[in-house]
Amino acid sequence: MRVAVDLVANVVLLAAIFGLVNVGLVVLYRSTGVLSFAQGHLLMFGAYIMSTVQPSLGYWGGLAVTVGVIAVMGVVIYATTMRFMLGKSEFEKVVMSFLVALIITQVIDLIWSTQSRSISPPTSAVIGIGAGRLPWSSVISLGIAVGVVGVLTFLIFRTVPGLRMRALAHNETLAVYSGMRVHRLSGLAWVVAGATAAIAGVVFAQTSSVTFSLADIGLLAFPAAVLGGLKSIPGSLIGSVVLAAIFTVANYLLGGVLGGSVVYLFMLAVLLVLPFGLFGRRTAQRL
Amino acid sequence: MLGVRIRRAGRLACAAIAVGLIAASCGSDGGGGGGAADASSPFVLGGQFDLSGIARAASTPASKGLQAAVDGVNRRGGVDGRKIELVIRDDGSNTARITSVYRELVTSSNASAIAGLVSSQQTPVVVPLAERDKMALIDAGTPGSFIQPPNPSVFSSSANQNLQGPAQLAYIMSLAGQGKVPAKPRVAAIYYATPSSTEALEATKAYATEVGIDLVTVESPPVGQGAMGPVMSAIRSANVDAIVSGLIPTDVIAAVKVAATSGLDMSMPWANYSFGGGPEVLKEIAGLGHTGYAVLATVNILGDTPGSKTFLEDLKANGVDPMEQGVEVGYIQGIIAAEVFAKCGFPCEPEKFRSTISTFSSSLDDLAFGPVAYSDQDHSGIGVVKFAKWDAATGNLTYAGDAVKLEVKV
Repeated sequence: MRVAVDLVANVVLLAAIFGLVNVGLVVLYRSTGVLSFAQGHLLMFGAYIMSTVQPSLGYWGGLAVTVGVIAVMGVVIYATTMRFMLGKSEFEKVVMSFLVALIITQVIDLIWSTQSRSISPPTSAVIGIGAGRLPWSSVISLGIAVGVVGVLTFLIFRTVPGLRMRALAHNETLAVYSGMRVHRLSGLAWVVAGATAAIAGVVFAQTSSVTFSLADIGLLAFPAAVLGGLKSIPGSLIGSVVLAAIFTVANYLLGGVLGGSVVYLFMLAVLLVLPFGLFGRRTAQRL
Repeated sequence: MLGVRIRRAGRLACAAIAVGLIAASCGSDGGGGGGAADASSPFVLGGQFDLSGIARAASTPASKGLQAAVDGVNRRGGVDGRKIELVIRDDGSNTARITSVYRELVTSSNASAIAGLVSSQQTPVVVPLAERDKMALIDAGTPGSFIQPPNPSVFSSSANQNLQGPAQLAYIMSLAGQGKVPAKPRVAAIYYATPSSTEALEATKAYATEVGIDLVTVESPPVGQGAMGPVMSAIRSANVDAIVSGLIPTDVIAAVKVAATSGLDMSMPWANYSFGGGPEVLKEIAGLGHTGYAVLATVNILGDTPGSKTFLEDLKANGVDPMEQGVEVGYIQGIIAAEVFAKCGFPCEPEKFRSTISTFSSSLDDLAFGPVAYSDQDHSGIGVVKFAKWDAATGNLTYAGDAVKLEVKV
């Protein structure tokens, strides 16, 4: 029972982290067509900022400042780099996102050096379930992830800017000729991506420490986004829960390396049957 | 209109790439090449580090430590009146760059030896080249297979990884005498499934069998993923009395945080290998409430011996924080190189440096806990280690238990 509760606690926490990492990625892809490999690095930058401001502002104040700073950084990244990729191929945009990731890493190195830093969770309280204990901080993290997904789903699918963002992702050139303010819409998408990355960075780093390896979570979480369907915001969260559960149980039963392999095998099996993920839609191409 | 924007975009994208490349190159230090061998010519030491790749977090502090050691030696007058010129280069743990940086240090800089090499990915690439050139590598990330049997060009400046597991178990057994663990404890060994870690685990298993420890092995997810929940659940299921591990600090901190929230025993003895945390990490883990965590230490940084005092002074002079993990890794390399230069004499060509270090033995003014020695049978270097802990009550670093001798069985 106790081990089962421990494993559930781990699933809750990992699902929240994967979900928050992926939702920004999916929003960006859904609205601008950019598959950003800098998302993990934005997350890392957020964690470093939180580790700096938390001692003076506390958890929630620090989180608010962190989200604000990284959201602004999202706009700056767009205005200084991605803005000029309008009309370019997806491949060129991905390459530019790699470049952005490289610059973010160098900036972090210049400001904070390579020393590890720390973030404290909002509370150390736990929920007793039998002999096991579920940390409140994990529950809060999952709650934040669900809330963020809800708000963004509403924004993308139920508002006019959301409709325009989807149109922009579908055909950039046509969006320009239709008179849409494409830079404003794309900038908004980068704000959302930055804000979610900041939250994800804080949630992830509070379970470990703030180091350069934080950015790697972007790659670890990516299969969950693919599993859920790269264009589905709720799918990214559901994919995260499924993947977190498989990852945790497989790691417990089979060890770290085989456990990781099971995750990728599962993803492969799902994509063979459902090439657009669990919640992705088949796209029609006009010939 | 769109076409104009796209052309501008192309120019600006090129500019952005240029900025990125400049930023990337900020990671590598400059350095001079070797000059003509006149009376003022310096000894030249190469420093090959990964300052921009996956091992940058461990390598960057080590490069600062090496620089501090060389600057300190030069400040005190150098070696027999000659300065040491340190040429540091960044290879990013990238195979092609590892080779080109090595060649540059050997041919353009005329280095007598190469230090650094903190990343275990660097050593296998450089060793065949060094063997051909008869070049000595003062290597901090050496997999045990390069030391047992000793490779003629590889001289480890950190504790032999294959001997660290047995040393950790010896430390745990020493706690049995204090009643902190049973006389025949059940111990969990957490390891990564990497070749060097697996190799070290085999040595740990053999020692455990020899001394009657019931060893339970728990495989960790790959380095730095931070998903330590399943690992700690497996440890809880195994009902162990102590833990030994070869984990990097991020994963240890993640594991301790899981232990804290899931109610695992926060005083359980836990010994980690030498890259498992400097003073700052030990302090953070103690701050999380874990009182049993200790890490294998190869160098005395308390300042209570001549070598240790000089270590602190040199770091201070260079503005390096001694609390930073890994600075001692590079520092000890610089001091070893300086003592070898003194024995070798100028100009100390690579082959002569290698033959000199092959018979080297010194306590480095008691910077180390015992002699740092190399011989035909053993290139481990570090022979004696201690286990460092953070004493939360006093707010100071301490060394727990007696010194542990690392023994190579020839």
